[in-house]
Amino acid sequence: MTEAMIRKKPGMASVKDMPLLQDGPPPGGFPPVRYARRISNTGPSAMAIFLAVSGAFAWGMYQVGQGNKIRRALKEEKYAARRAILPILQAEEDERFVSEWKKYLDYEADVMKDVPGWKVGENVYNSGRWMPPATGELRPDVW
Amino acid sequence: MSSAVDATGNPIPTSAVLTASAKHIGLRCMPENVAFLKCKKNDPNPEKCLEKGRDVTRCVLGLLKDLHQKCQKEMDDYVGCMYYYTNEFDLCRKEQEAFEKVCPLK
Repeated sequence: MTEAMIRKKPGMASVKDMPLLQDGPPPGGFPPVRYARRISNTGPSAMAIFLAVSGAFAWGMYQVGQGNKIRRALKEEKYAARRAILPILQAEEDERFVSEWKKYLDYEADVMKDVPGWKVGENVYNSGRWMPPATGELRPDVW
Repeated sequence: MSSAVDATGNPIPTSAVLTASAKHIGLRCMPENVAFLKCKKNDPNPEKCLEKGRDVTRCVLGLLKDLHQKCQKEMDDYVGCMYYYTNEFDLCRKEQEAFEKVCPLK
């Protein structure tokens, strides 16, 4: 039905006299809204904050130092173990190298036996120190 | 490959066995080690330091055999742990303590 039939009041002359139906404030108006700033001045002072932060920093750096001490001890343990087993590993490698070198010198003598004036083996450097053989490959059977 | 001994019962000097007994080697074979290193520093030629190298090998292999005979199970456990964790001391503390309790460092 039209609005006039729903909202009519008895004795109405035209639609323009219909009672109002609109959204509005409650009686007495809305309660007031606060829009003023309220930033409190309580809480720790600047010095207190500074001391707390630098205290946390100092404690953290102390913990870093302690951790470094522990890590250094672990590294030292590892290096000490390596130092202890270095000689036996080097001794075993020396034995292997000496036997291989002898075989190599025999092979060289065999290959160069017809070349006049060739001194087998050790015709490397002139400084007098021993240098490992510079063949470009340390252990061809391994690589 | 994770067994510490070969067929005749001698410990094989693999990396796990050597790092497991490194503290003992460093303590009990120190004279031979130092002599060998001094010889090497003097002359790096391998043929010149063969005798001292043989001293080192004899000392270390004898020490490994001795350790293995005295505390076989703890040493096997420690070597197994070292093999599993690739020679990280910090991951094998329990086995290390058990090993050093039975075979002390003195």
